[in-house]
Amino acid sequence: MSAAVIALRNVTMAFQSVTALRDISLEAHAGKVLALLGDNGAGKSTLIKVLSGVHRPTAGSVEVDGKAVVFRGAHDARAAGVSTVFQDLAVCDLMSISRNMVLGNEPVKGFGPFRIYDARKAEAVAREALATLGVDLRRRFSDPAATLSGGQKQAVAIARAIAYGSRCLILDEPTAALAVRQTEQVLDQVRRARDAGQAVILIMHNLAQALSVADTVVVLARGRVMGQFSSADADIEHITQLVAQG
Amino acid sequence: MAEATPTKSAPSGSMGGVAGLLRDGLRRPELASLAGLVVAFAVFSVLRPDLFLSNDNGINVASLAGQYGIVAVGVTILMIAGHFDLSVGTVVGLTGWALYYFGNVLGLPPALTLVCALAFGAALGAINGIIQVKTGLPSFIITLATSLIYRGILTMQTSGFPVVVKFPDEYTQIIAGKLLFGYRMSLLWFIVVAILATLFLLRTRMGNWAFAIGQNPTAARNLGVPVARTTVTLFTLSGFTSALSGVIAAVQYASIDANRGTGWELIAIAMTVIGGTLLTGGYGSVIGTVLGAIMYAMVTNGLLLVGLQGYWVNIFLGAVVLVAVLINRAVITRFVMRPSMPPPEAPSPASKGAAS
Repeated sequence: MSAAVIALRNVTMAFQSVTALRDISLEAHAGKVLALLGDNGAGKSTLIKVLSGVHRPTAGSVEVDGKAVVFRGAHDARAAGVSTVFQDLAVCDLMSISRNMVLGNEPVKGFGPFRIYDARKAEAVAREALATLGVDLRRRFSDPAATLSGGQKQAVAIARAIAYGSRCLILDEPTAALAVRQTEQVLDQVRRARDAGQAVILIMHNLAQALSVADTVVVLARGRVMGQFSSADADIEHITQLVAQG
Repeated sequence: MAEATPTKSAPSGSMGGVAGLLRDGLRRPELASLAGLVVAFAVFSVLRPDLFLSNDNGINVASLAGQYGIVAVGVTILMIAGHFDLSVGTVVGLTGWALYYFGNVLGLPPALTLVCALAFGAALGAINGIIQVKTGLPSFIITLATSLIYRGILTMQTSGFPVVVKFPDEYTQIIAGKLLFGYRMSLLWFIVVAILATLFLLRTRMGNWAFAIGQNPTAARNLGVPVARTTVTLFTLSGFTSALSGVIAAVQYASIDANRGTGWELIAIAMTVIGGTLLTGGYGSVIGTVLGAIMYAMVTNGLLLVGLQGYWVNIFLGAVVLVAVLINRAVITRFVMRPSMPPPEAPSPASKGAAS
């Protein structure tokens, strides 16, 4: 197996007297989905912040493509192709879909001070990125993002990350606030992203959903890895117990 | 979401047609101000066609709209990014003094005097922005504080009295002279500022960032938008537009005044809000503000021409602001937040593979 796109090696994260993560090791590979399961307070959000460069681990290291790296901030992680999609914070509601899609990476045309926003290119980016996910929003790209459903907004955020050089996609509770049908859409987007070669890290607490898309499930409790299972031979009852013990 | 009509279906990415155009029109932030402007124009034209439709009234309306409108353009850009600037009125006054100080006291050449005065006003705006970015305090409070400070400095420098100043002929014509048919140059500057600001908002990256910061600053930051740099730049622009208006006012009235610009910030906010910009940020337009400014000036003059006492102007304008905000809110909830085509009834697996 090739080197993991991103890996944690014996990472410990302590905040003064509180140790949020203890000796965590995990790997995310291209074209695979890794699901992190854990109850509230298990250390999931701290883990995301380490992966996305917000926190620097107290001990242990972060590796990208097999080489140890130090993320000095979220910017470094993004530059390394690690992008995090937060469910609530994905889009600006009153902004058009295409403008949302290129936010922070707006295509421009022209020279120097006369560079102007390239609306046509932005639409092309939006169209292409959504096609990667196999998503048809059934909206015009000039429509405000407010007109999209929760699952569609998630699609916009995921497509945006892929369009701008993400290789590792971290999704934080992507299905938490969604209805059944939208959840199914999002899980489908996850499969598409995986098929497009992304290393996907899913933070979930619904075990059944996690098993339906993940290649590997890692159970986190009280800041430790309690177990790591391949989805194929996962014992649901056993995993549920592990999560609950946390 | 509930009223899906599965029979209708249109291909993604193109809706087109009259319905689409109509929907786009209804979504414009300028809608209420345009409607209000048409109504105000019609009413006053019927009531006093002899006075209201005269060239003199046109000149007065343009002058009033331009004077406040230039300030309101900067306020609009900031409000779109979710910020208030209550210091614009005092920046107007203080820049007038700066023009006098650089030119008449320090004796700088006219062109340099102008540049320095405008840069001075822009710097006052930048100070607001830097304080906001460094402290994270609400801009409402910061600019309230700096407006008091700036006003205090202005009063100190002018001893609290209006001072008649002779500004050099080199720039009085270009700043506040006559344009055509008796219209003043301020109208031209208003138009130029409005066009540049519109291009900035709709055709630059930072314009896009302004909308994003106004709505969802966390998302913007997560996506790599330089929030601090953008915020300081927008405050600087607001300082610059106020400075321009301050220079125009000083030259036009050939004076500087400790009280100049008092209350202008509220008029500018009123014009911005009438123009459809959302008070909470993220949505708005400079064109709307231009319409709002013209409407403000038209109503102010029109009511006086119709023969109402001056106090009716404020009462009426207050009502206009309230009605405009209600209409704008309705536009956002009824048209902007609703899809222009029915939401997908089935989870649309139709587009497996490449969606054209």
